Amino acid sequence: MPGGVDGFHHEALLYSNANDFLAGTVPFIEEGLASGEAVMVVELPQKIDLLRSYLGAGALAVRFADMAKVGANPALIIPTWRDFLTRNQSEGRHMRGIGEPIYAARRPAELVECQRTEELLNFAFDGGEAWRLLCPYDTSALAPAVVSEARRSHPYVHEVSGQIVSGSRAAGRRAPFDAPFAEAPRDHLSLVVDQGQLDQLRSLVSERARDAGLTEARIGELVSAVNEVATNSLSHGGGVAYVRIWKEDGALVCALVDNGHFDLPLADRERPVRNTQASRGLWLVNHFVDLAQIQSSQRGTEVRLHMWLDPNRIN
Amino acid sequence: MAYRDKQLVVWRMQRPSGLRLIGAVDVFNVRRVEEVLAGALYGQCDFDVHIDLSLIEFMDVSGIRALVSAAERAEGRHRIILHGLPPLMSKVMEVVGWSDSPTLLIVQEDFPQAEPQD
Repeated sequence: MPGGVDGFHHEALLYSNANDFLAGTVPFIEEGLASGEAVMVVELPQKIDLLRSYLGAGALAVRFADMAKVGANPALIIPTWRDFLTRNQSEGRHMRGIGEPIYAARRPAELVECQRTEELLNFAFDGGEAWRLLCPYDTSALAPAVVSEARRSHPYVHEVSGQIVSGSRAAGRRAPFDAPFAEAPRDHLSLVVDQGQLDQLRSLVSERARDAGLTEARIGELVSAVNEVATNSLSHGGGVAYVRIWKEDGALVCALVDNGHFDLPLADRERPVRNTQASRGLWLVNHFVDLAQIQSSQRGTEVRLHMWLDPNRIN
Repeated sequence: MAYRDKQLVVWRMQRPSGLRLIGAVDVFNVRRVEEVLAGALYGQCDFDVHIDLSLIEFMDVSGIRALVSAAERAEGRHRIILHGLPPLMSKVMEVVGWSDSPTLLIVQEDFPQAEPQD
């Protein structure tokens, strides 16, 4: 058993300063390296630099990735871990990882999606291969509610004291799509899209995106993403898409509502298999927009696509 | 002309053989585009069938899937060569993992001089 675990171990590491962070992460990495495991660390660049300096030569054996890049859209975090697992499994190697998806500079909608990702990690990897994923949380920079959600979404919690306790997950398990959306602002543009009207939708989105100052490449990607979501509504969601577009806090948002019900929580974050018939729309959407949020129930499905107006903001 | 609707015109080309698509392909007309592609490959003697996409304004995932599927079905009999693939479509193919289809060749060169057929 790698690191003494027999399944997926999703662990939160609570820390309040650099010393706690290092005390929780460096031995974890060194233990993995000592037993020949593959180790991947997905952190912000300053944390990567810090870990490198404490790991010394050991750092050379660690695979580092920048969370602000691979996890800029939190929906791409699970595929990153999935790829890591697949690669090492095929070589017969055991593995462990560190990933800090939640940091103070996350935008509010990103934070919600990061929290959903933390929950979905359990869904994606429980019952599969044995590996440990340690998720550091900076209690000095994050709101108390964020820390208590971390205690809920992680079955194991490393307290600041170093003690390991069970998370509160069993008590508060949530459905994956039930985080409610904020109300759309009154001042939005709306359009009902029927079969044969996707061309009008594309022109409208493209015009609004241009007005909002998006680059031509990003306009094309947003139009393509909106088109795929609307196509899902036309094909599987009752044949009509109700579209609203607005600008909010640093983002252009396109919301698409239909009457369908969608309950495949990982559908937008699983790499498509090599089969031309498999659905690829949502996978594409997550690569083309900055953030995609899905809410679905018996009453219908809403997908909100966000394009940041300042995509290069320093996190 | 092989096909026409409110958002798309498809010309059948000869010497070399193939199709030129002008306009937009989405869920509205993708079934018809599949038929036109199948028609262009059926009974075609030439191994290479060229498709000019340089005048495509928009093609969704289902449209690209139609091209990839047609190429897969024609394996051994034809090779489909795509000309003028717009950058956005090229990125779509890369993201969804269709860039390395063995029977679909993406080339930078313009569509060869060819004559539209009636």
